[in-house]
Amino acid sequence: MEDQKIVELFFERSEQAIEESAKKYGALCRSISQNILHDPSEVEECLNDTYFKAWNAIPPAKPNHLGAYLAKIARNLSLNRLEHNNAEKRGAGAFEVALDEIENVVASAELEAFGEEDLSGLINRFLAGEKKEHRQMFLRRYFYFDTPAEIAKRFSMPENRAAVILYRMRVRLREFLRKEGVSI
Amino acid sequence: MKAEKIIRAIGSVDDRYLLEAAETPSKKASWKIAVMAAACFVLIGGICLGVFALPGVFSEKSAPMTDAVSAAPPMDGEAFFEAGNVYDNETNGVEDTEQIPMPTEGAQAPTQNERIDQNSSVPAASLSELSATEKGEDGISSEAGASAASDVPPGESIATLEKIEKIGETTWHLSLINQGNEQPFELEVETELFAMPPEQLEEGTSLVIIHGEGYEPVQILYAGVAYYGE
Repeated sequence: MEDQKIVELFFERSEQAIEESAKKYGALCRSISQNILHDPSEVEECLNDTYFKAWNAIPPAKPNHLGAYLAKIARNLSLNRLEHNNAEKRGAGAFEVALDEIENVVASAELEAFGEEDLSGLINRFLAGEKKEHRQMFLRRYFYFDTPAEIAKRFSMPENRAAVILYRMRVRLREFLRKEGVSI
Repeated sequence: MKAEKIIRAIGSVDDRYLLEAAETPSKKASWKIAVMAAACFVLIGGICLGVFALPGVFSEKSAPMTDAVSAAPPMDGEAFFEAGNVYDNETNGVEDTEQIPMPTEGAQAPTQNERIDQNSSVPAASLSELSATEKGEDGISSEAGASAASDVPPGESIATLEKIEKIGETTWHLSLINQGNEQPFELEVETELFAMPPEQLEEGTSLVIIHGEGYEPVQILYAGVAYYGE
């Protein structure tokens, strides 16, 4: 079913909107949540929360890209749940490794002056200046939390090459943030 | 934690980028497959070209010579050849018999003709023309006596030139002595059958007279060139 049609179902307050959303974007949201939480029961709860939040937000929200909208909700909810959980439960999954990778980039950065919106705008501009394939790889890694092996398979390249591309992108991100006034 | 702040910020990037990343097809794999398929196609095409097309070129090149061999009319030297003076490995006493391939059937002609092509300054086309002018509609020599001698396979003979004179605009009369049995014989041949300028031929020169079926000469070469590639 087309995204527009599903959004119309949300507006009509039809529960079929949830079914169609789960059918079309359930796997995407599940993979993001799974990469962050690693716990199937928590992932299921997170997915239910995602549809519930979308149900409450639409209307008035009218997303142009329902998939991206649901993915962002699932991701944020998963991150919130992870934060809420005990730190000891953290493993060495794709999310944790990705977090460490980003930590290495901004460890010495002064980010207090920047709000999430500001940083998001900077990252948007950074991504706009990257090649399409690199941009896709970056988001597969730091939005969807795919492992380098999964990214390499997706882009038909050796894992080592994918890792090198991501490393160089992090270096460029660091330089970009420095040029944009972030004290690093 | 600073990294979490960045990770959160990445969660708010433009939807277009997120969809772009979510819908990434594995284009590279199909691109690789396409390149490999194209490479295989070119390879197979090259092999087919090598196997079928190039032999075809050679066979086309040698075909007119085969025609010339089978269709050229008998000439003055026919009687000489019929008398048993056709070059033969066993009777003519040539020492290095292995270097002289003896044609046995019509199928041997292309091999011989290939050697003629390599050594001769006479283009195959001129021999083809000769064949075309003298061949009957059925592709068999229309000259009398040709059928009688047509059982004789193509061959070659080594002879010493005794005398050469021009008797027509493109016709030459040759007095020769067969080196196998020392018997003299004479030939009248067209200029185009010579692999060398006939004006430059001197008495005592050893020549190879290559004849087709029915003894008709189809090529005259220097003996050294014919056998030793000198």
